Amino acid sequence: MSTIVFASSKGGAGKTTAAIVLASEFARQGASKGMNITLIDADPNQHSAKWASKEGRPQNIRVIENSNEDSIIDDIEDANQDSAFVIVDLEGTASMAVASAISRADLVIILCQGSQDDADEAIKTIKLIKRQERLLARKIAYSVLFTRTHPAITPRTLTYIINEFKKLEIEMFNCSLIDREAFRAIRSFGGTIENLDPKEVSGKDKAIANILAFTEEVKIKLLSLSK
Amino acid sequence: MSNKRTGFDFEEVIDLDLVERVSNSGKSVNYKDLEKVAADSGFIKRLPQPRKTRRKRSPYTEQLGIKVRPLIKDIFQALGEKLSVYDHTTFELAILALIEKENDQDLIRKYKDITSKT
Repeated sequence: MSTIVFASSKGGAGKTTAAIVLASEFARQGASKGMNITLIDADPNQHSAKWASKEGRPQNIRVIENSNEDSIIDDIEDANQDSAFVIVDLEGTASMAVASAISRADLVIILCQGSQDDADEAIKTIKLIKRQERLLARKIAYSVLFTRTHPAITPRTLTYIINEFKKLEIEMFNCSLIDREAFRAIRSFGGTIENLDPKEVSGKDKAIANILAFTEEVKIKLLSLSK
Repeated sequence: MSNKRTGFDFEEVIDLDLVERVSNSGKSVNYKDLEKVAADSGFIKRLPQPRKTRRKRSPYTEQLGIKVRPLIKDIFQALGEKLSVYDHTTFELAILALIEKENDQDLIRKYKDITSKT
């Protein structure tokens, strides 16, 4: 069992989308192995839960709704009993729920768009992780995932942020979550990107390739933890 | 022969079984310590907190308006100032002193009964 927490103290960074696509991909790959995935929705807006309530959610994804700062630790521990992977979607605020979830995380994925505000908030979350590491006397793996990126162009601000993060030796994903209609479409249609109708949504194959690249990187990071 | 090249099997480069691991995240932590670390980093409680206990209501609720001779009020207030108490306490202490002086056991008991409850 591994607990993956999607954190960003800023809203609209793409936490829910990233959490849903990772949960769906893990569910797809783990279905034949009898693996269950739990997706914990700790955002009061309940966007993950809304997605899950639509048709097409993989059968091996269980959703825990309405998790909050009082219940999140218990929810994670409960989910860990029968799930291969626990994925936590948090609210985009600097809340105690974020801190509690991080205290139980194996891997924290920090979502960041290519803006100064997002980068500042990412740093804030990393500082929290570092402080928690000292408190818990254990390493908490984290990595920054850039989201809503352009498939072809890297804006100067994003380049600057990446370079600064490199200087600070901040862990980053090699891939990013590209701004694609398919990612928005699953939120309207429900289900997974594989099940989207190509007539309704363009760029489905590219979105799938993007998810696979992201999922593989997550797996590499988790694998490196167990070594 | 197909006119399509065989794709690279990118997915499941790493078997998911290998990734599923025993979590090391179970170490318990004092929630208060966690709360402090979080607050120091700007991550605060967002849920509405239960209201702290209400301020104790004053037991001095009965109004008593009396008229006194000129300057008696000044003496009364000077006494309260000397004892560092409010007027209502000065008045009650004066009553207690009087009923003790009179050795009226019934009134002393009544007085103590009232003041011990509030």
